[in-house]
Amino acid sequence: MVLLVDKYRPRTLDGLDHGASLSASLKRLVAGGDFPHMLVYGPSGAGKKTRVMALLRELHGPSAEKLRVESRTFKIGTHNVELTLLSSPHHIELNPSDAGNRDREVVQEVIKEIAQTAPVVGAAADGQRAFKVVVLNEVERLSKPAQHALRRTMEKYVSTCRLLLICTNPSKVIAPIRSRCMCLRVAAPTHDEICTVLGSVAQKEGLKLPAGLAMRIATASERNLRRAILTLEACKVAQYPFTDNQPLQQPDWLAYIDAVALDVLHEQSPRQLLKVRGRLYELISSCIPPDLIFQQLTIALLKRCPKPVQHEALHHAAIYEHRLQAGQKAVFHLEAFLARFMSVYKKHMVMSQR
Amino acid sequence: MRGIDCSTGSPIESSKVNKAIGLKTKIIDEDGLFDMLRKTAPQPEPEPQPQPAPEPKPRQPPAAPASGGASGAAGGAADARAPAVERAPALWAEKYRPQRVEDLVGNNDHVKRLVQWASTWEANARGGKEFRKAVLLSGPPGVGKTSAARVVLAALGYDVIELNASDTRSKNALQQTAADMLTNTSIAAFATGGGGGGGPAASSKLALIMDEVDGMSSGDRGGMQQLVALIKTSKLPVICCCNDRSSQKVKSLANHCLDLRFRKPSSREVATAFLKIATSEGYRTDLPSVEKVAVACNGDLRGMLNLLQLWRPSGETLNGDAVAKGATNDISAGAFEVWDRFFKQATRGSPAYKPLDGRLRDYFVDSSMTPLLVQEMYPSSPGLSVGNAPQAQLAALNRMASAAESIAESDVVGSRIVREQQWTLSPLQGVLACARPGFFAAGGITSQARFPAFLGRFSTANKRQRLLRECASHMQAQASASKAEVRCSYVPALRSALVRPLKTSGSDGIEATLALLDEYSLTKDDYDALVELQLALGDKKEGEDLPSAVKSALTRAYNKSHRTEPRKLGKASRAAEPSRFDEDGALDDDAEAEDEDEEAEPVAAKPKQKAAASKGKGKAKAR
Repeated sequence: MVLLVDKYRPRTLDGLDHGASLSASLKRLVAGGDFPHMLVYGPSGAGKKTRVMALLRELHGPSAEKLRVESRTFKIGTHNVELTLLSSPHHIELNPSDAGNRDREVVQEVIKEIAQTAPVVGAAADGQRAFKVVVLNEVERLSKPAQHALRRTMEKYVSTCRLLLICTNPSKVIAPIRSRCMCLRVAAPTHDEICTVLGSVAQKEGLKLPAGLAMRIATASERNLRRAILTLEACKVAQYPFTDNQPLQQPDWLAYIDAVALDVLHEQSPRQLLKVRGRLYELISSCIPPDLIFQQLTIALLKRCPKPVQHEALHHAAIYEHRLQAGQKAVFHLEAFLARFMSVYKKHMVMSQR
Repeated sequence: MRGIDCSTGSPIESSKVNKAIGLKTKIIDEDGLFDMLRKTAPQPEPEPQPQPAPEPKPRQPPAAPASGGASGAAGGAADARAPAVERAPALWAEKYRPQRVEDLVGNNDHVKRLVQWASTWEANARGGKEFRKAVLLSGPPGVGKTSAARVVLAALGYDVIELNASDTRSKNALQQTAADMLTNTSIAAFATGGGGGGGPAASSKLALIMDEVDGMSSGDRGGMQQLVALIKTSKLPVICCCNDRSSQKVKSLANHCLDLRFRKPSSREVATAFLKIATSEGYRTDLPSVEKVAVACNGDLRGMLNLLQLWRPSGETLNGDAVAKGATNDISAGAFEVWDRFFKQATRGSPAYKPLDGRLRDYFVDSSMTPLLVQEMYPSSPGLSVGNAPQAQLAALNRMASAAESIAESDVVGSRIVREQQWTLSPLQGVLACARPGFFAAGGITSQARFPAFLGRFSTANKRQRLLRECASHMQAQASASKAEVRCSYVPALRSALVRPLKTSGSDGIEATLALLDEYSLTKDDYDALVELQLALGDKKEGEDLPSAVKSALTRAYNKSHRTEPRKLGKASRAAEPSRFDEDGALDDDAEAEDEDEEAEPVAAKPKQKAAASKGKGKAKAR
């Protein structure tokens, strides 16, 4: 009894529901048994990881799915860094950014060590595929020094190892790395494609999904296929049989952000700012990424305010978001943006009353 | 005098020179100047004799009875105490260092115990094994630990050898010097025929003061162990002093010492003591103002004497005004005392007005805490809460936004400082984080400072990030999402999927919940994390409103199934996670215990160990 999203995850390149041309070219690429370093990028829920796994399966057959998770502690200098490794006989997957400030050392020591040693399994069987595949997740979260440390490793050990880098935002990956990789963009599925996938999932589950509801789910999940299928499941629990206009189950954090936006629009005062600050703290401390909070909050505010305010607020949002990326204490930036928005909104209200 | 142009060598021509020529002033060059100096200089004195030392130190060469077999070690010690005896030092803190037991301020009980310990030392040291041969005096700086040790020992007729952090106290150094001293008796003792190898004579007993033992650092390798060893075999009383009683190094020492923890004397005690000193220094003052200084110095008697000596030249009297004036400059305050100064409303010229550098000084009082306090408090400033007039409200909102923006900018600067070690940016951060927000939100905050919520929230966020990371790594094999995606998509979905069976069918739903947990290789801890990581607008959080009977049944069922049954491997093709599961850890423990048993353990120890292992396991599960 897994969630539907994992139950019907495609396992092969042929089984992928969207981006058929990309799948076809990937298939041709690995037909020779080899491929270059790759940087796979695209928004969340577009199917980057699924595609990478399907690619590995294409290359190595079903044994690539024998996954094993282990948590290993690496001694780097005087510090211990704990990393979770996900591995099959043919590849190793890790999240170097989990090491936080020590990500550079992880790249220098751990990845290099993995890359240096030739693979044991597979190498003997067929000589041509004598390389390891290392999948690195969330590459854009690596610090700049860590990314620079990766450059040399990529070149030097190309005979024993291929890197598959996965990220959502390639502009945060330094250009030298991008140039060493074949960059693959995995685009988010269109609304129609999502509807098709939802339909087929529903069919396999024996559910009757009205087209209207499917479209609403697709729109609400912002072309994030994972979120769409999870929403479908939540909807099924809330109400089945489906109706076209049944309410969609929003994730807790989206509802919460909406409430913050309503607070801000309801009253603009220092007292209200203090109240909102508490809610921002709550959002951040329950692990919602600050840039996502910023984005959703801006959308929620703009939806509900008049055009002139939208323009000015958007202008400020861009500036404050940039600062958020450069700073460390996210709550300061979110709060500053909301304080600015309050003043902009109030100005408009006062002007329009005259 | 007229110089030459360095680059051309020609005399300098300028309007000033021309004017001087016009006024017929005598003009000389460099040589002329030297000539003039030579002529006008007073008759050179005969080569000055090297000044004899102000007062010969009579005690040092002949009358160092302590030296004996260990002159090297005692030399430093003799130096240390020599100045105090010979001439009144300029520093009040030294000049008025207590000379008699009665002079000590505060901690009377401890001093009494110290006197009792020292006076009965000889009798006890030879006798009972239970007797602690050393004392550990601990407490904040300036409360009189060293003074107490010196005074008490002196009063009882001991010669004191003092080793402090300025002496090398490594294992070897201690062995060579201190060990000799501690096991020997002074030559003076032989001379007076007192002891002859046994107890030292009453007239010249030796005692050792180890000052600042918590400062025994990496350079003093092995020193602490050596000190403990010395204490065990010591034939002299040993008094150790330290500030940080909780330090790991000191803890091991404390086991072998009589533990006396000095407290700060009350400000009244300190003030009374100072009044005596003030009288003898001709400093007119009154008890309340001195007490104010004592409070500001936080019971640090030495610090207070230094401070008051610094103020002394500025006036004969010390009254409330002088204290208030001095306090703003010299008394080190904490962030909680200074943060509200940034919000003072003061125009240029008014007495409360403070220029930027003064405000920066307030910032540097505690450059990490003050900005947080300002950030916490600025929306509460009365300057931002204006009446109902829309225009005034708008203006206030504008100022609030500017304050908030400045704080946000300061964060960017702050992260630069931390990441790139650009400490030269600190003043800028002070301006952005404190001075500007204070300016925008000026209005004299009178309310009590709230403790910055940021700190608590920050640590909560860190804790939950860890929980989320664990959770995400457990389900990595099944779900292909990054940590952020796990939080945003999976956590809400999984939570409701896990809680739903429990909610609809109570204890009968446990089976389904556990099956889903296993499917994603999640543990019970992860389940709790999923419930914790939720944002509820109302009071009720999903999963927390379950009847407690169901909750505990779930815990029991989880513990039961995950302890006894071999773990289900999920789908055949997807083996998951060997090392993370609780029950695996427990199994490992058992295996280890058995290994040990087989190796060397006597049979009798076996059941006990097993029991311990399973007990520990139970505890771990119950969490």
